[in-house]
Amino acid sequence: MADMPEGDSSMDVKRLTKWRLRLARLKLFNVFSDGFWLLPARGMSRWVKVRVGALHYLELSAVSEDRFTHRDAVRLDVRFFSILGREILPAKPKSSAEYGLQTAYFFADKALDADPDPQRIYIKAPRGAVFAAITLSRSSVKQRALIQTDFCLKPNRDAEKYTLAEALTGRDEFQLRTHLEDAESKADRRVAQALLARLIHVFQHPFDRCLQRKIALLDHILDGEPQAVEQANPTSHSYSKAFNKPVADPAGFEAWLECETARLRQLSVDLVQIGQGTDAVMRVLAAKHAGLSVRVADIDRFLDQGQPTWLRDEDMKVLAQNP
Amino acid sequence: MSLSLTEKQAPEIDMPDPNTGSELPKMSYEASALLAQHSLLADGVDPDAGCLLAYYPRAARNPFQDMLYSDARSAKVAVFPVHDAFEVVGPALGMKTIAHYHWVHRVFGQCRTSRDAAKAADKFLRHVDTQRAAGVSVVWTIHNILSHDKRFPFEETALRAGLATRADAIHIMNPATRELAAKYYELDSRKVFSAAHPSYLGVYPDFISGSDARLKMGLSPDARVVLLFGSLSPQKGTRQFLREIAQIRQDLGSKIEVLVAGAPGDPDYMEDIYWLAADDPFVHLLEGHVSEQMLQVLFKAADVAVCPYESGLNSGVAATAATFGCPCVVPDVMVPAMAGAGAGVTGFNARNRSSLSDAIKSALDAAKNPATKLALAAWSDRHRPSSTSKVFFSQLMAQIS
Repeated sequence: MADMPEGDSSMDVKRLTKWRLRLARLKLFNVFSDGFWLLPARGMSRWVKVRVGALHYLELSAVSEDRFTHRDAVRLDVRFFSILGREILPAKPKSSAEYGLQTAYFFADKALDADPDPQRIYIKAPRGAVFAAITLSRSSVKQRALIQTDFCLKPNRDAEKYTLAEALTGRDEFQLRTHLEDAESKADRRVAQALLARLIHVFQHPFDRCLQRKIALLDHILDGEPQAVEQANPTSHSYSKAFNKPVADPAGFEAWLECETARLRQLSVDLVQIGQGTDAVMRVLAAKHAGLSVRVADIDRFLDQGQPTWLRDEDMKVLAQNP
Repeated sequence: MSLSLTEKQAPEIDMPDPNTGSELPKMSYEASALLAQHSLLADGVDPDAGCLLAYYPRAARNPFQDMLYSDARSAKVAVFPVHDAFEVVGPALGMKTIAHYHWVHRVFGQCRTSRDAAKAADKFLRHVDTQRAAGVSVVWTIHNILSHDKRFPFEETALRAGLATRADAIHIMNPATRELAAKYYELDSRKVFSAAHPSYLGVYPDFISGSDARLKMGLSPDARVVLLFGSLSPQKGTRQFLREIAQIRQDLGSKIEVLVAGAPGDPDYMEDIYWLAADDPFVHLLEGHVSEQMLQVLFKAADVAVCPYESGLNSGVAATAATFGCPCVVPDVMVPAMAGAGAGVTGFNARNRSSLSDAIKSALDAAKNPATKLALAAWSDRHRPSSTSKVFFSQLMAQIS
């Protein structure tokens, strides 16, 4: 029996022996069904069957021996194999919403938490994969961790959807991103900011930070009071051509917006006139960010054009305000 | 007691200690003293006129000690670190020997209870008595009134009071140290001498322009950027600052970007920092040891460096900021330590946090004024390591003679 963590005497802690692990591999019975196991320093592996294309998840609770939560305390590695035992390397994930990760980390919660939150890691099997070898190990050999998992990959369709409040307090990336997609479809920047703050806090992906800044900039522009400039002959700047390439990614958006705003400020104009085109919204945003008045050539068409991500109908009206 | 080394006593040299980041081989006191004496002889210094200075503890990642001792040879002093507070027991090789202590709370390193700490303090003070009785001059540099973590405040106060009584000379870097320390322990004015914290001129690379630094950091040239630099620990005030930043932005009426750079501290504390940084799109967290090459990028990308500490005497961060021409905001008590930096150093009242907004506003205004850069450049030049070291050794030698 392993030493129990301080303040956690109620936990049923077991040490995983080599024989128990072999029996588990043979599926004679599930030795992982209950209780906390002391994760061996050498790590532990298990082979499971997977279904191609379906999103699966592994649920695990982890506890550290300390009075504080350890980030990235337990490491999970997944390798996929064909029916003939040949390893299949999954394609690199193209976006944050894809779960093709082969290595992921779990938190080890502080020992005083009698009932630590289960954490989920999502796994998508590549084409041709029949088996997956799942390895759990300690990130640091010195840092001991107790884990509780049934070591089963469950299809994601079986998972219940969390409410927004539950997602915001949890550490389930899939649930957070599902709510983020909902927020995007409703252009709800306030909810998106809350979800992104949680995603950044827990997972620390740079792409989430970029999106968070993009939304914060949009908020800044839309909440700002545009300067009312009424002059008999205002000096103006006209946009007549469209971009060669649309600026889509959050980091590119931020850089473009900052540069274009600075350029407009340097032009010493009071009014920006914007011709028709798919980039009108971007240019209106830059003009508003620079505190300039805007005139859009065809206001009805501007309002009718495909509404960009994170902007609502009322935002478009604010942007289209003419002096 | 005088140590005599024979040929049979070969210097004990260990490999560098990877834990402290020290690049120097670890040597015993006797071996270091022997090499130091040899080095003085090679410089043509008569051993009777020369002096050995053994210091403890060595701060491997902070060049402060190398800067402070950079002009030692002009004073005919050879300097070397010792790796244990109790290593210097008597003058080495019959030469005049100085034991120089810096962060003395390190003697509590292995202590778990107050009782352990009291014993450690007592043992250390008895050791100092032994040193002095053997003819070693004892010098103490006061970096803080009490250590940052204050694990054993009563025992540490007693330790400092005891050392203040015993030391032959006490080096301070803030002219207000005696008054500020008086609440805890007395400093005899006859023993105290002042040599300011050196600037880092010529120590860190400094060739990148401010515009390039911003570009490297992905920051807009128009952004207003404040930098919080240094280890991320509760006593550095980073958590409190990040909690206050929304109010500071509101007070200033401007969108301020915050760069937080430094080595991560306690995991529990870091979780708070992660959360506060995650909640604010305009906080950039650069967690980890900052390389010397990166220092110039951070300080040149920033408009103002902020040291939101609750207390302190002097700050290496303020001296670094001054070296890179970056105005700094520090607690009021630290302002005298940066005397002569003009508008480049702005104080705030640590007990009245709303004064922090006013101080940042003043510092941001000062950053736009070319006179501020000139004042900081002049301060850095006056306090270049060799000049400060010269002052330090001239005063030290006067005190102990």
